[in-house]
Amino acid sequence: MDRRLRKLIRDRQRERCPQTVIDRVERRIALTNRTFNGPAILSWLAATSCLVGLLYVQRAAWLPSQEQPSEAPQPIVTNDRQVREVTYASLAYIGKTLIKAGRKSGQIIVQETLPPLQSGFENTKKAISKDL
Amino acid sequence: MKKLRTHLIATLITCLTVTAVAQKDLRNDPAYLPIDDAIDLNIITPEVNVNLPRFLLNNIVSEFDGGNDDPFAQAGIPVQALLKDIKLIRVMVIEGDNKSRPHLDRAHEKLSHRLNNSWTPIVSVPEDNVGIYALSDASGDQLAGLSLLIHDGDDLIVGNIVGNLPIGKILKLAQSFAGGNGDKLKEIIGQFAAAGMAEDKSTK
Repeated sequence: MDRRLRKLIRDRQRERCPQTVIDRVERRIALTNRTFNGPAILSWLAATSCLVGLLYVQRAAWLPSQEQPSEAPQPIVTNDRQVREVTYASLAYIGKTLIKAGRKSGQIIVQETLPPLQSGFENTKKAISKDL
Repeated sequence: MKKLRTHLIATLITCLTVTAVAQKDLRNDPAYLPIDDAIDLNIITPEVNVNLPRFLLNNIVSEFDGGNDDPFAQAGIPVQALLKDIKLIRVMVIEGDNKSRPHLDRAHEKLSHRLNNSWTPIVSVPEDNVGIYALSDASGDQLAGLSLLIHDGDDLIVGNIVGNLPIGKILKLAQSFAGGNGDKLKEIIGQFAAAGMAEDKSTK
């Protein structure tokens, strides 16, 4: 065999694939062989939902104090009798307001509709008497 | 396949837990009126500020004795029937002045906008700026909440009841109630405030 040919063969045997080419091929293999791993995704979803739920529950404790919904301070209502009295007064007051508003609406309806009704009746009476 | 089933069950349980926890928050109830978001209590001091959540109402129902000093018994209303479906009672009475008037106007606008959009007005007296609103539940068969909004001159009165409220019994209760413009309510709250202050002084 020619000496140059042998040298060529030896050089080719020693030659290695460049690392960049190997990396590129590996990436392409990974892309084509990627499969949908359903159970793993569902597990991640479950874990994320759990975390979101815990964060939601805990959010009130982490909010700065001025952003927290201000609970109406009730230091004076400390026993059952007070709660009972305040509950009764609150509900009764709302009921009273309903009654008053209803009565006022009724008065306005009467004020607004009664005069036209009365004049309507008078006009009809006159028209009937004229015809007779 | 077995692994997939296990993961699906775990996900379902997690979602149900999160949903259940979220539903427990009263602020998510459609009948809850965010009064504290509309009225800044750092600027405005209400004359009456009643906040009775379910755990307090449950207390009075369980400790109900129907004795002589029980106002519900005197009105002939069984308190268990009245309160069993109520989750929250909120009443706020504010006597405004020139300084607080703009804040109260803004609060009234915010609350009435919300009520007019999502609730059903059952009684309105526009000349007195009185509005009473009701909200039904998802089925449309039951009451889910009642709200009251009055802005008369410098005063602002807001009421919100979350839950199924028997209106007939409330009207009957009102007939035994002396006050009609919030004075009686202020008087009752004032009595407890005075008793509380006296107690504070004696313990100091």
